Amino acid sequence: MDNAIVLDRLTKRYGHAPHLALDKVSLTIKKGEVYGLLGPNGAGKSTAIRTLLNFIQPTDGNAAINGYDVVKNSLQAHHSLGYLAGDVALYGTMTGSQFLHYMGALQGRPTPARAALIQQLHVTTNQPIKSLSKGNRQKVGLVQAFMHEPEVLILDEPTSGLDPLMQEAFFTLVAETKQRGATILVSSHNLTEVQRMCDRVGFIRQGKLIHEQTVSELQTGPLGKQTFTIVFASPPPRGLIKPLGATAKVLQAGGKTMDVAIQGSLTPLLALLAKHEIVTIQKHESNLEEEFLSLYHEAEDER
Amino acid sequence: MITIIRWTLWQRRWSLMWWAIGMVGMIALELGFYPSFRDQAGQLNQVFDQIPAAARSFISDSSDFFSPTGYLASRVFALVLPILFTIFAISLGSSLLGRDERDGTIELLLSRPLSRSKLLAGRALTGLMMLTLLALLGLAAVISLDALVNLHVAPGPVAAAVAMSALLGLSFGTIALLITCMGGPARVASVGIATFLAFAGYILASLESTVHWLVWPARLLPFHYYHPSELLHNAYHWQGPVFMGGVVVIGYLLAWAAFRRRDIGA
Repeated sequence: MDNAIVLDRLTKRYGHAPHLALDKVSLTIKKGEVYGLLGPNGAGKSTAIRTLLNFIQPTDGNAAINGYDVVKNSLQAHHSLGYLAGDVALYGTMTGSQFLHYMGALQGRPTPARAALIQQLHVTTNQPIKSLSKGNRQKVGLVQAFMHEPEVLILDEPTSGLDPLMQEAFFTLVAETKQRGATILVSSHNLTEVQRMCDRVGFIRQGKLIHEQTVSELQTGPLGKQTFTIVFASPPPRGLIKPLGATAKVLQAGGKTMDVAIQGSLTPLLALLAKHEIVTIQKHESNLEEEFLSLYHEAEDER
Repeated sequence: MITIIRWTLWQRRWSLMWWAIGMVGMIALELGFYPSFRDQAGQLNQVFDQIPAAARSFISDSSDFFSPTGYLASRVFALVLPILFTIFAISLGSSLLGRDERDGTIELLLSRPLSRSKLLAGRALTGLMMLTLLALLGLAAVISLDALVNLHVAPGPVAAAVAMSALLGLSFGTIALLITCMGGPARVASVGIATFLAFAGYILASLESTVHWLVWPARLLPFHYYHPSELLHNAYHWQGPVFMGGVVVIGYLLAWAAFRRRDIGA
């Protein structure tokens, strides 16, 4: 069995709500794969994850973790599972150490990675959790999800509240975890974050999985457009990037500044720029919402 | 499940300690005053007899208010212990799972290899253990003060009355747990509904001897079956424990049926 997580026409309707929160979502995540579930807030990412964890019951369809049905065999499905919610709720009166001990005892497995994780993430374990900042609480949450070295990790917006340094440490942790063969499902609304971590991404909107692609496709595909603001020492000549053809486009130009959108490899652009004196190059973070919407409309048009 | 029980007890240890201190303090306060009017018990009973039966039934299920047994029944077993145990059990019943669900910590527990049935059983057993512990402390306090102020009420009937008032509280605690397990808006209302049922039952049971048609609705609620003064006089009826035990067992089974498959956090 090579699949770690399988969703088969998973459907969820809350009460008598007119819209489905999850509409026949089918996806397969192979063992050892890091899969990103992307979408704006309210798209259905958390519903998919909460159904997968058996917190909420599917209206139709089914899902399995390591071959175990998440409803009928939830205990087996949770045996080697790590879970972290974005706005993780912990027991405030316990110290980090007491909390991790409790969670370890409930998991019923040794926690070989606990000490290393506490050190790696600089986790405060000797203070009541309620006295910790949001970021430090999130770190305790990360340790409880990773400490028993589970085969499958489900992380719902895991970097929320982490400062940039800790986000880096988290990306390293994900890479190390992948290296030991674990499968990770991570939800996010941050494209850059997903590109850093994942092998494959699925786009979810209004409860439907509308698109799936590998991250390498993401770099060159319709979502692979990168935008830069380039400031030259002196106004650049007109038609500077024309040799790049359709892969590059000037979005805005004026004085010494030029906004360029480029698809695919950056080497040709850098080669052109090397002939001029450049003051700064600033990359614009991809605006997932916009790109995502354009992708969604494309998907609609194709129907 | 043992892990759940152990850690829940640990989390609740201070709250249990304060409840125990409060309860022992109230028992001491009630019984400590008895020697000051022991000698006038006869006259006081005569005055008490002039109060209408309906008003009297709010204070005690016994017409003998100032004898040692009557005083113990009306002050400790008709007021302090059933009210304390009921409030304690309702607060446990509504919070043992409800607090985790409200705070979101229930997700941490249920993402482990822990079934909902075991989580519910672990939490319910913890509640039962805490109530039992409180009841045992209450029993020890009553027996000690009984000896200190020379009430001369035998420990056997006192133990039966303590057990019965704890069972009364447990039945309301189970109702609160059941409402919490149903989820949705009911979860928030669990304390209110269980408290309403407790007070309605208390009032109905007090009035049923005067307003006879109230016997029927009163029979549906646990207070109707709670007669501490009879217990202290060694008169024992099986209906009480059977009815309250039935409420606890059926309430727990319904709570399990409601909780095992429903959406968490809904």
